[in-house]
Amino acid sequence: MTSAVFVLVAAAIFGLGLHGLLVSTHIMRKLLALNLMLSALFLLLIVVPATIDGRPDPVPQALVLTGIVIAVSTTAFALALMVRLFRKQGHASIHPDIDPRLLRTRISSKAKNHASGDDR
Amino acid sequence: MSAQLVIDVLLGLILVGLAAQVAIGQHLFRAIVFYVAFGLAMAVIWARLGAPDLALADAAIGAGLTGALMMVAFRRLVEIDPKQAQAQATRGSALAVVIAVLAAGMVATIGLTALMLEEQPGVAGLQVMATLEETGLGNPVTGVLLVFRGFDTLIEMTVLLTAFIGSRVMTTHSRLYVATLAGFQLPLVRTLVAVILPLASMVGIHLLWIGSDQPGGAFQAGSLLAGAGVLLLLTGTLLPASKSRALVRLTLVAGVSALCVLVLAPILRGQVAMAYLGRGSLLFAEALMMISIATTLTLLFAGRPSLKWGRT
Repeated sequence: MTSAVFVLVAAAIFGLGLHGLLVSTHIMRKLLALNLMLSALFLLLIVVPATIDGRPDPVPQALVLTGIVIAVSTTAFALALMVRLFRKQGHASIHPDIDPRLLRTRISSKAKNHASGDDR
Repeated sequence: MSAQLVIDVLLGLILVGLAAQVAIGQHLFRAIVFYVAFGLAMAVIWARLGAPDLALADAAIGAGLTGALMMVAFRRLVEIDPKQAQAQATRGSALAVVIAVLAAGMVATIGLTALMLEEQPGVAGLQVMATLEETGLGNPVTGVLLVFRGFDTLIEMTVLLTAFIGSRVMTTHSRLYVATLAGFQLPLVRTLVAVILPLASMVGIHLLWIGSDQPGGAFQAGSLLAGAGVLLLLTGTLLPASKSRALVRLTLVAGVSALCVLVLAPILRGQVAMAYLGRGSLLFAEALMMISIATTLTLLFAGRPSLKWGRT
C-alpha cells in the first residue's frame, strides 16, 4: 500500500513539475519545475523496486544519491548561465515570442506588481 | 485504514501541496522558499521509506544547498535590476494542463504496473547484499557507491567539478553580489559561528567515519560541511576572493584524484581496474571526496574562484 500511495504522489509531482516547466517563462521557475520532476523520478525509483530486508534496494538508493548530487551541479551551472543571460538581455525569461519588457508596458497592474515584486 | 497508511497519505499530501506551491505560486521568491520546504518534506519521506542515506543527502543538498544557491542567484538578479528580476510572462495554457495530466497518468501507470510485476530473482540489490560481507562494509549504499559502481561515482565527481568550472567561466567578476552579514556588526553572529562550526565539523566527520557501516558517507558529510561553509560566508568569517589559490584548487580536484587513484592502483598491483583494496582505501577516497564536495559547493555559493579569511 505504501508503495502505491507514493507512486501516485510521484505521478502528481511529475505532472505539476511538467506543467510548471511548460507554462513558466522565467528560467528559475523552469529550474524549480525541473527539480520537482527529478524528485518525482527519484521517489519512483526508490518505491517501485522490491525491498530487501525491509529496506529499499541499495542499488537504486546509490543511483538516486548520485542523481541528487548531479541535480545540484546542473542547477548551479544553469543558475550561473541565467545570471549571465540576465546581464546580457535584461530579463531572465526564455520564450520564443514573448519579451516581458514589452509585455509589461502593455498589460495590467498585476504584471507590474509582479515585476516590482517582493524583494523584501 | 491502518495508522501507517494515514501517515503515508498525509506525508504524500504535504509533498504534493508544497510541489503545487512551487510550480503554480505567483511570486518567484515564495516558490524558492516552498522548494526548500519541499526538500525537507522529501527528506522526511525518505526516512519513512527506510532510506536514511537519502534523507541526509536530500536535507543537506536538495533542500539546503539548492535553496541557498537559488536564493543567492535571485538576489544577484535583484542587485542587477530589481524591476526585471521577477518579470515573467506567465500565460495559462489548456494544452499544457492536458499534457501534464497525461504525463502524470503515464507515470502512475508505469509505476503501478511495475509494482504488480512478480518479484524477479537475482536483482542487483540481492547480489549486493550477498557479496557485501566479503567487502567488510556494513552500509550497502556505500558499498554500491564505491565498490560495485565506483565508476559512476568517479563520473559524478567529474560532473560536479565540470559544473563548477562552467559556473566560473560564466560568472563575470565585476559587480557580483556577495551575500554577507559582515557589515551589520550583529553581536550574536560570532557566538553563533563559535557554536555551530565545531558542531557541524564534528557531525560531518562523524558521518564520514561511520559511513562504511551506517547511514552516512562522503556526500552527506561534504554537503553538511558545505552548509557550514555557507554559514561562514554569510557571517563574513570567510570571504569570497577573486585571486585563485593553489590550496583551494587542490581541494577542488582532490575527490576526482582520489577516485582515479582508486581506479588505477589495483592495475599497478596486477589486478583489474577498480578492484577492491579494503576499507582503508575507501576511507581515504571518501575523506578527499568530502573535502572536494564541501569546497566546490561553498564556492558555487560564493560565486568566486577562491576564499580568504575575513576579519575576526
